[in-house]
Amino acid sequence: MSTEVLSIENLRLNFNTEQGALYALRGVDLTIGRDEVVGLVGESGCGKTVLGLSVLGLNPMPPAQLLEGSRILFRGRDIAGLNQSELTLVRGTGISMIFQEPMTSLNPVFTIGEQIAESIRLRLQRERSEEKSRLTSTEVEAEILDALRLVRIADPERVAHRYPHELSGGMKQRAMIAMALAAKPSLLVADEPTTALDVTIQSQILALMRDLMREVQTSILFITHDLGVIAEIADRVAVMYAGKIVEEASVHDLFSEPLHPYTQGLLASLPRLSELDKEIEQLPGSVPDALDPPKGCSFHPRCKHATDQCVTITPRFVTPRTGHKVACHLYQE
Amino acid sequence: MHALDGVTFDVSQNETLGVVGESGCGKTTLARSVLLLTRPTSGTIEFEGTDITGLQKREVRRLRSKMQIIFQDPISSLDPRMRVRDIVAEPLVAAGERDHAAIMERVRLMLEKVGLSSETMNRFPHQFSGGQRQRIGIARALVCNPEFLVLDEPTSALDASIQAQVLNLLRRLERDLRLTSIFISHNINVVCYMSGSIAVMYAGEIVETAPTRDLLSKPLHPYTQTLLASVPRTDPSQRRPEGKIVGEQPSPVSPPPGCRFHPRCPHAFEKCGSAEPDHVTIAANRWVACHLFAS
Repeated sequence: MSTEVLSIENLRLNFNTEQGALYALRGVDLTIGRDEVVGLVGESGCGKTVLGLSVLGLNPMPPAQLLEGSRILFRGRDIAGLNQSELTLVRGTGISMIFQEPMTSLNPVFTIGEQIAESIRLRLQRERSEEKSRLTSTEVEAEILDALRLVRIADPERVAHRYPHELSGGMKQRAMIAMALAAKPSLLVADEPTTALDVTIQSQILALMRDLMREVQTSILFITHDLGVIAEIADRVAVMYAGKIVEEASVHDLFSEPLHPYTQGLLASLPRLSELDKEIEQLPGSVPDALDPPKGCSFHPRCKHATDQCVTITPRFVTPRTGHKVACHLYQE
Repeated sequence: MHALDGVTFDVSQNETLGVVGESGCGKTTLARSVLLLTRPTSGTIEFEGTDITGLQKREVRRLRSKMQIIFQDPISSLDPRMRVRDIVAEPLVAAGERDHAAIMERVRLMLEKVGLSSETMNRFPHQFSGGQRQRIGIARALVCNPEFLVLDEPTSALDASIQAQVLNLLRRLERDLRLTSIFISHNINVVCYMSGSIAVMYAGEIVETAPTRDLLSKPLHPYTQTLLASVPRTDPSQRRPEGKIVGEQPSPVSPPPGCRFHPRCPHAFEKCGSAEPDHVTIAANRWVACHLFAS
C-alpha cells in the first residue's frame, strides 16, 4: 500500500451528451508504484486521455460524470470527488501533467523561467507545511536553471528568458517537462508527449525521460497510441479498448507474448522494417461507438476467436501468468 | 525561402517511390509541385516524357485525370456539403464526362473497389469514420483511371488498426490498377512497407535514394542512418541508448552553408561546412549526396 503512488479503482465516467450517455470509462482498475513508468496504450476513443485527465480532475463536470464507486487514490487519499480548489492543491504538489501540444500548458505571455518559477512556488506551498523556509529569489533562479539543465537544455540562462513561441517544438517539449518536474511531483501524467515531434527529436526526448527516471523520484503514467514508444519507455503496460483495460503486463511480456486478441491484432498491424515481405494483418471493423458499445466483450465484433459467450458475457480479468492479466474468455479456467 | 532546392528524381512505371523526411523537409511541397498544385520557381517536371512544367491551366486540368492525389486529412479534403456520390464523381465531371448514368455506375464501382457499399453513395462525409472517409478519398482519386498517384501522408491521421486496412487496400489497388505512385510520409515503417524505392529528404533536398531493401540494409547518408536509428522498435529488449544526434532540422529560410546536415553530422569534416555535396552514384538506382562518398 505504501509503495503505491496511484491506485485507480472501478473508475467509471460518462459524458452526458445530447445523444445520450457516452461511456468513456467503464470500470478501470490501475495501480502505479514508485519509480515506475506505466504505459497506457490504445487507439482513439478508448478512454486513455479521459483517464489521464481524470487523475487531475480536468474533465469538466458537467458534462462529465463520475459514477458511484469510482475511486482515485493518490498516496492513499481519494481525490476522485474533490472540488477545484482542493484539487489545485493536489495538482500543484503531487501530480503534474504534460500534453501532446506544449502550447496547452505553456502560457504564451510568460517566459519559460517565469512559468517554471510558478511550479516551484506551488511546490513551496506544499512544503511550507513541512516547515521548509521560503526560498530567496536567487535560490528560485538557481532552481529554474537546474530544472532546465535537468532536461539537457544547453544554455538554460538564455532559454529561461525566452517566450514559448521563440522555441522549437523539441525545446518547448523539454521546457514543459522541466516545468512539470520543477514541482517535484510524485506522479507525472504524460499524454502523447512525443506524438507531435519528429522521430529524431522524439528519440531524444524518450531517452531523456528514461534518464530522468533514474535521477528523480517520479512515477510516470505514459499515455500513447504508439506501441513503439511504449516499448521504448514503459516498465508495465495496460492496453485499453472501449473504456476498459483489456490486458496488463510487464513491457517485455506484453510484446513477447500478447494474450488479448486486440493486443495481438494491434501488434500484427504495424509494418516492421525487419519483415517487409509479410503483408501486415488487419483487424476488421473499427473502434466501437462510445454511445453504444457492444454487449458482452466489446471487442467481439472484430475478434476472430469470438464465441457465443463473448457476445453476452463480459469477461473478467484472469491472470494466466504471473504479473500478466487479461480480460478474455479464451483464458478463463 | 527555399522549400525545395534542386530536387531531382524519377519514378518508373508501376513503381512506388517513397519519400521520407521529417517536418519541414519539403516533402509536401514536393507532392504539390509534382502535380502542379504549386508552380515550381525553376526546374522541370516531365510526365511520360513530356515537359509539363509550363502548361496552362486548361491543359493542366486535362492532365488531372491522369495524375491524382490523396491527402492526409480525410476530414478537410471532402466537402462536407456534398454527398459521397458527388464527391467521387467530381473528377469525372471536371474531365468533361456528361453521361450521368455512366458516371454513377463508375462511382458505384469505385466505392466497391475500396470496400464501401453503394448505400454510402447518398450519405455525407460526417456520417463516416476516418478510415471510411479515406476510402472515399481513394475512390475519388481513382475514378478517372489515373496512371499516376501522389499519396501525401494518407494514413497518418488514422488509428493503427485502420491504417493497416487502408495500406493493404492501397497496395492491392496499386498492383491491380498498375499505378505509378509517390508515397510520402514521415513514418519510415509505413514508407518502407509501401515503396520499392525510397528518397530521403532533409531541409529541402533529397540526400539519398536507393531501393528500399538496400537503404535499410546499408543506409549511407549520415542523416538516413540517424533517422533509421531513431525509429522506435516494438521490442523492449532493444531500447535505443541516448542518441548522439543533437539539434533540429534547419529552417528553410536560412540553411547552413555547405551540406545542410553538417552541423548535426557525426562525420562532418572541413569541406562539409563550405561546399554542397554533389550526387554520387553508388549503383544503378542508388545515389547519395555526401562528401564521404565523393571520389
